[in-house]
Order: sequence, then structure tokens, then C-alpha cells
Amino acid sequence: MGKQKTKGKEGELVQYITKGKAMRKLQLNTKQFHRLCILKGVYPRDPRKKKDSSKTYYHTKDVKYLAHEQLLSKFREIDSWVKKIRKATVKKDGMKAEKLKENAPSYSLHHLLRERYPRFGDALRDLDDALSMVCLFASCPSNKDYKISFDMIRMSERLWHEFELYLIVSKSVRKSFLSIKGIYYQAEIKGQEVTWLVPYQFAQHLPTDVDYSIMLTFLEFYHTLLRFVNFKLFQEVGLSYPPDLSVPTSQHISQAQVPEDNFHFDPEFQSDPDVKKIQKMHEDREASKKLFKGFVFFLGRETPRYSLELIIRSCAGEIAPDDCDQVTHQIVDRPINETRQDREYVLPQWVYDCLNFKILLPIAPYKPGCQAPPHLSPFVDYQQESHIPDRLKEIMQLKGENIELQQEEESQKKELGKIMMTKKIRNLYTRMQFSLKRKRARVERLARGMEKMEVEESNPN
Amino acid sequence: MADDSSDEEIKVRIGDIPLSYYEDLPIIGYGIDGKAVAKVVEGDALEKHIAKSDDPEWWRTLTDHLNAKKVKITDEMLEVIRKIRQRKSFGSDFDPYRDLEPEAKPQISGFGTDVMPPKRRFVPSKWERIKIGRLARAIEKGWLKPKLEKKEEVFDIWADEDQEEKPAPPKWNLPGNAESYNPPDEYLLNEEEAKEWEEKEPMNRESEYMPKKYPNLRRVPAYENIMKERFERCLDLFLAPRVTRPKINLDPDSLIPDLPDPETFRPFPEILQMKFVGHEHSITHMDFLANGEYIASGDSSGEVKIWESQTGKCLESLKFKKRIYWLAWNPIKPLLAICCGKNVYLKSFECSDKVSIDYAEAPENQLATWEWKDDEVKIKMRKGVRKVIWHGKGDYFATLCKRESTSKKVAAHSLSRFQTQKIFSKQSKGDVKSIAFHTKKPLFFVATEKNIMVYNLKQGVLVKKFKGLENPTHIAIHPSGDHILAACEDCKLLWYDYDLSSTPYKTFLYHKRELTYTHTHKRYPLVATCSLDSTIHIFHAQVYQDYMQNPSIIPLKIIKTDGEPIQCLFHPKQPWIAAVIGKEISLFI
Repeated sequence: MGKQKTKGKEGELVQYITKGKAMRKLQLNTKQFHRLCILKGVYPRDPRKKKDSSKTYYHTKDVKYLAHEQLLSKFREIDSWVKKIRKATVKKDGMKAEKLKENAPSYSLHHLLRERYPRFGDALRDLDDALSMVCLFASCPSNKDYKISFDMIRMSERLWHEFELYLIVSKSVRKSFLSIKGIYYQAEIKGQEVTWLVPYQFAQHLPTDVDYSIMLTFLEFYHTLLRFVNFKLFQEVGLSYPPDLSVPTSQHISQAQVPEDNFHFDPEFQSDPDVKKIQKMHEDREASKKLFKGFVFFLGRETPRYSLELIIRSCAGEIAPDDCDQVTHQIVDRPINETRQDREYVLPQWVYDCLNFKILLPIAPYKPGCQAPPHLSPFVDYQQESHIPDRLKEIMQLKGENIELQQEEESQKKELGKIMMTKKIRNLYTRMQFSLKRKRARVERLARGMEKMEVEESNPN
Repeated sequence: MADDSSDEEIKVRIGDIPLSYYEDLPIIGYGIDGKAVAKVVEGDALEKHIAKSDDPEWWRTLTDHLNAKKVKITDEMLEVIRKIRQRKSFGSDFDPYRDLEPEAKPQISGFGTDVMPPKRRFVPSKWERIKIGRLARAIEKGWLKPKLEKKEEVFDIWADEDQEEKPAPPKWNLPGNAESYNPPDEYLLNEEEAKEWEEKEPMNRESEYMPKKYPNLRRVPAYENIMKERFERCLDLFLAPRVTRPKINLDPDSLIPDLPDPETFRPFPEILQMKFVGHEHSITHMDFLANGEYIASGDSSGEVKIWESQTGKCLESLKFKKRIYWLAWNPIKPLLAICCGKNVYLKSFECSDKVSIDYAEAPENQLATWEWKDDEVKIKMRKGVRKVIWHGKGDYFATLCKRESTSKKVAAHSLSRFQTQKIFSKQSKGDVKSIAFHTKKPLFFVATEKNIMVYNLKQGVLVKKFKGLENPTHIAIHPSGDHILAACEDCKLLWYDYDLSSTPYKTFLYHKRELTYTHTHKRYPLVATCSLDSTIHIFHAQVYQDYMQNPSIIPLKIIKTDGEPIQCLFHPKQPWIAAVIGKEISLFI
């Protein structure tokens, strides 16, 4: 006779624990549990077999990992500290309360960084959310009800400006997109593509249906992350951290020692298509690093100044502090009357389009006061999208490149082949067709829109 | 009032050390709390000179080094300085002791008041002493700590990197062209789409924003949902279960099996050669004469036409009273069996060689009566006849009657003996859908709603049963006799191997609607199916005598028809196919 099996000792389900049980085990309430999960980067799992499908499950290993967290005792300390203050105030022992408030238990989150991101590359990969969050809060008003403190906002601002400084110094902004939500940037840092969204410069509206305590927990962690990432990045370009942001940027640029990436290929492999692809990417990178070299820009008051500064500086351009004779390009976003002969007047979109296509585009369509050509997203993979806007075709012609679309041809051979598919493969095939069909519908819609426009153009009445 | 006085607390506590000791340092000394006090920046001579010319009050500004601040001399103080320099008295209105608070206020003496101040004015407070004692004790024991300075520490946390890689959170979708502040016009929604977008619940919308075009960048407003969207992303990051689904990074076309080129399997029918037009009602059935010379067709009004298959010329036309259900040429003689109402007519035509069936006394029969009229034979059944098929040797033919009791549905007729008999005494339940003779052996196939039954005609017993059908519309026996094809209403073509198994050897699902007919070519290895989805599929189907070798089935051609084909029939000799579509017969070669 074999060993008797006891219930709840084996099987897949033993690895998972419901949220309620996990909270009871850790002796935390929901708020604290969420806070800990956010900081530790623990998320629920989806076991294949569930006892109760309405419940949320966590991996038992994750719960153990939470239970060993040193922050747990710190949280308890904070709890008792809050109680002490309350007690002192109720007893009217103002001095004691005052003293207690001075010495709030402090904690740091940097030990979590190494746990969550064992390598620097991992931290960079998670920077998308961190930067978007920090940039959003940098433009938020402080609010007492939501406990958004002024210090938090100041910190967000500082970290974002520090990061901006790094981008300028290392010249790593690769793409940027003016969307209706804000300005997207994509930078290439140590081979990782980091994309984030910076809202336009307005004080943000704070909606009521958002749990700010959760947002602030994220923000707290992202502050720590960004501080350490900034430190590491500054160290790499040979600048001291924290940098003095009051000093003009050009001084930082002159102090920095950006490591050169020595990049060359053995001519033996030149014909390899993969090598060619990498070489093309490298050429693009180098092109964007010296795109505006030798240009001096003067920015109009109505333009998004900080964003333009970031892009122009990271493409080796210069910004004139005031209207002087060295200015080669003046960026204006309103109709102008007086023009000077010795400079070009362009819309801000020109700068973004130049960055995205890695060439200096003709200035004529970007004259101030007229409608600029459509602004395209640099993040679209046109091999997947299969609809090419006219503007892209124009630019590709300018660059002397052409993008080939995969032509969908419904050949009879394919139809015949489908007959011989087995049931399993046929099911897989039909499932794959589902998303393709949706994509095709989207492309058709766009194509229809274009046709309609052409018809309207040809007979305006 | 001037705030300087000798009793005021001095910030820098350096004692009697001359200030020159600190000349080279950025600090002036240390404060009471032991912290360095920074020097007041005075600047160099040039700056001093500029300050001198800029600031009109420069001359009355002094630097207080011990307190590390700048002091401005007021007019009052100037007056005092002037008087001191002139060695004059300060004047009557100047109080040299004004900063000194009197220890005790002068008592208001008078009636009813104590002249002496109370004791508490002179004795230090007990409670203060207790409190101070308590604080002192707390400091002594280490309970009361000085205020801690918050320090942001930052260092290179990734100095020694681990090699293990942690799974990253899923990235968000990057914006497309529609999100641009100035998108190409085709990305904007038209009025209907915009209305639809607005009417939908925010959850069900395809995109969370409405594409918009702004004339210039300075007019782009703040995006109001930005905080909400970021919050939702945050919730996704810590509340959503993360499942890593292996993404099939596969070109769907690579799943399609690579077939040999149809060119290598020629000949097979490909293009429309001609149409046989002439019927006024929709054709119900057609058949080729055994040598392929003529085609007989019958329509729903009861008209039978004989066509020359080479030219499409209508040679003869004949009118019957009722709808023609089925036609079949005798495989040996040019004798046509026609199902019309309850009767089966056996008839030969002028155009082909005339075959006459001499009158004979047919034996008495329950099932059918044989009648002779002119040159045709009429076999009258008890119920309406739907199908008639000839045996390969041309002597026997079988009929299928509707609404007959199950055992009498299928009857076999002998042309030489003018006899009609039941094929089986007992038959399982279910409507008979189709019947067929085996090409070589004395076997008879009956397709019911779910099964194909195989009877041995000599012994009159059920030999085999094939399963897995769903309302077959037609069954065809491969000329080799080892394979059975069943066209079903559930869009499937089932391929049975007679010796292999009772379940289909292969199931094909390629028609979109129910199949109507299937046929195999007598000479070429070709199979055709037609369906109501207006297509005829032609296959190459090579079967081998060797049991070990699987039949090779290769799709060759999809012929699209301009109507719903209800029958497709190969030419007996040529690799051609004829299809019945509405009122016409189309011939593809």
C-alpha cells in the first residue's frame, strides 16, 4: 500500500493562494497589501484550475517573498507611530506629539530595486511607466485632499529634468510624436528602447474617480528607481550626481565624457541581410545624433519650449537665448508679418518630423501660418499595418527608399492547400485569420476614406 | 528698531578664536548645534564695486560675521553714532536700557493690595522642574532623540550585475497615426462613425480617444483622460493576473500544406466549354450515355431532352406528365430509365440505336407492375420513385421510392426476367438517402441518415456498416470498388476505405454549404464534388491496389459556377465534367 495522500498537499492548486488568505497570512489590510504588492512588483496569477473562479490568486512563493520583506516591520512601526501621535494629541501632550512628528520612522526602497531589477537593463526596460508617471506628476497641481504633496511634485520635476539632461548629453532621443495626449519620446539607452509620454504643459485636471493613494505608491517607487537610474546614467557619462540644474546646459555638455560606440563590421559579412539591417540602424542612429549640427534655433514663446529644447539639443543643435544674428532657424507657431532674410521660419512640427525620418525635410510645407502636412506616428510598423499614408510615400521618395507591402493575394493554390489542412491546423489557421481580418477591415476603412477624399477633391461641388 | 544687541544669541560659537583662522575656509565657524555656518558671500572687489554703484544703501550695510548676516544701519542708529562721534549725550528721548525687561513690574500699591510680591515669583516652578527633569532623563536614557536629518542616499546599485533575467511587465501599445495632433485625413472619423463612437460605452470603444485634427500645435488642449489612463495602467500592473501566452509568431500561410503543382496532374476539367440551353424549367437530373455521345436531362415540368454532348444540339424532346426525378442510361444499351411520378419508364430514342424490349408476360408482383406500350416499358410502383440506378452489367436496376415502408423502399428490377423484388427483408431505421451498386462485387450500398449499409445481394445479408455520416445527399463508389465517397449536408465529404474501417478514412471540409453531388471518373483518377456554395471542386484521387499505400488525394481545381450546381457528372470517356445549374447544363473541359 502506498502512502496515503492528504488533501491540499499536492497538485497545481497548492501553489496558489487566494488574495484573502494571503492578506490574513501577512496580517495586512487591503490597502497595505496593495501597497506592498506595488512596491515589490507582485501580481496575481491565473492558475489553470481554480477552486473559485471569482477569486484572485497569488503564487505562494510570491506571498512568502512578501512575508520576508523588511518593509513589513517598517509599516508596523509607522502604524504604531501614528497611534502614538494620536494618543499624545488626545492627552494634550503637544510637546511629545511635536517630538514624535519630527522623528517619523523613515524607510528607503532602494533595496527593492536590486530585487526587482537584477540587471541594469531590466530597470531600463521598466522605465516606460516610471517616466510617464513622473512626467505626469511633474505637471500636476498639489492637492491636500488627495495627499499629493508639493515635495512629490518637486521631486518629479527634478528627476525628469535630470533625465532630460542625460538625454541631451548622451544624444539618445530617437523618435518623438506629437499626439493629442501629449508628446511621446523614444530614446535608445544602452540598446534598450524607452518610450514615454509627457503631457502638454498645462496644469493637469485631477479626476475624482482615481485612487491617488495607489498612484502615489507607484510614484514613490518610481522616484527611487529613477533616482538610481539617473545616478548610474550620469556616472556613465562622467557627470556628478545630483547635477546642478541652475547651470546652463551647455556647461554640462562640455563636462560630459560620452563613451563612443565603436562600431564596425568585418567587410566579409557585409552582404548578410541581418548585418545590413544592423548597419542601417547604426547609420540612422549616427544621423540623428548630428541632425541639427551647426544650426542655431530661436524658439517662439508659443512653442513647446522644453520639448523642442530637448530634441534640438539632443540632435546637436543649439538654442539661442535671445534673438541674435547667429540664429539660422526660428520656430514659430503663429502667423508672422516681419521676416528676416537670414533665417528660416518653420513650424515646430518640422523638428519632430526631421527627427523621426532622420533627414532634414524641405522647409517649404512647414511655413508658419499654413497647415502643416500630416504628422505621422514613428511607431507604426508598416509591414504590419499595410496602409501607407500619402505623406509617408512622399518622404520615402525623398529618401530614395521604398517600403514594400506584403501583397495579399488570394490565389487558388492557397485555397486548394486549405482543403488538405487537418482539423487542428485548420482551427489554428482560422483563429489566426481573426485578427488579420480585423486589421484588414481597418485598412479598408482607411483606403475608403482616401478614395472619398480624392472624389471630393476632384469635384468640389 | 535695530535688532542687534549684545544679549542676542550669537550664531557662531567659536569663542575667542580670531576670525582670520577661518579665512581660507567656506565657513565662518560652527553653530550651537555643531553645524557649520557658511560665510556671507561678499564677492571680489569688482562685485563690491558694482554693488556700491547699484545699491543706494550700500554705505549703511555692514556684515555681521558672528551671526553670518548683513545688517543695515537705521537712521536712529546713525544718529546715535553721530552723537557718540561728537561726544554728545544721547539726548533725553533715548533709553539706554530699553531692551532690559524689568524683573518684576512695579507693584501697584494701595489699599487692599499686598505690597510684597507672592513667593511664586521668586521660587522656580515645581512643574517646570519636573518637566525639565523628565526631558533630561529622556535624553539621558536615549528615549528622546534629536531630530534626524533626512538624507537621500544614492549610489550605484547595479555595480555588480546579476545574470538572471526577470520577466518584464507587458509594454503598452505604442500610438498609431490616428493619435497624431495632425493625422492624415483618412484617419479622422466621419459623422456616422463619430456618432457611433460617442454612443458607445467607453469600455466598448475601439480606441479610447477620438482622432482629431488641430490647425496648429498651439491649439492642442490638455488631454483630460491622461490621469485616468495612467491610473488604469497602474491597476493593470499590480491587479491584473499576468499570463505569458506563447505568441504564435508564425506566418499563417506557412500552415497551408504545400501541394504538388496541379499542372502535373493534367488532364482535368478547367474552363467552361458550353452550355446546354433549352429547358424551360429547372433541370432536376442528367446522365451521360455510356460512350459519352449523348446526354439525357429531365426537368421539373416533366420534359426530357436528349443532347449531343459534342455539339450541344438538342436531338429529341419528350414530355411527361409529372416532374422527372432521375434519369439513368443503361451502361450497355442506349436505354434510358426515367423516374416520373410512380412510374419508371424504360425508353430508347431515335437518335441513338433503337433498342426494343419485346413484350413478355411479367410475373405477378406485389411491388410493381410491368406494362408495355409502343416501344417503351412502364414499371408502375406503389409510391413515387425518386432514384433509379443501373448495375454495371446492364441487366439489373434498382429504384428508390419515397414514403414507402422501410423494407420496400429499395427494389431491384431485372430487365431480362421482368421481375421486381425487395433487396432486403429487414432494414434498420432511418430514411434511405442514396443507393449504389458495387462496381465489381455483388454488393449493394444503402445510405441512410447516419450510416451506409452494405448488403450482399447473393446471400441477402448485411455485410458491413459505415458510420459517421450526417444526412448524405449522394454516395459514389470509386471504380476500383474499394472506396466510397459520401457527400453530406453538413458540408463534409467523407472518404471511406472499404477494407480499412467503418469510420471515414478522411473527412474533407472545404465547401461552405451542403454538398449536392459527388462523382468519380471511370477512366481518369478524378473526383468531383459540387455544393450549393456555387463551386465544383476537382480532385486527383489515385488509389492503389496495394493495401499499404494510401490513396493520394490532391485538390486540383475549384470551378466557380454562376448558379448553385445540383449535380456534377464526369464524361464517361473524356476528362470533362458537366454540371446541372438551374435551367442549363454547363460542360467544363
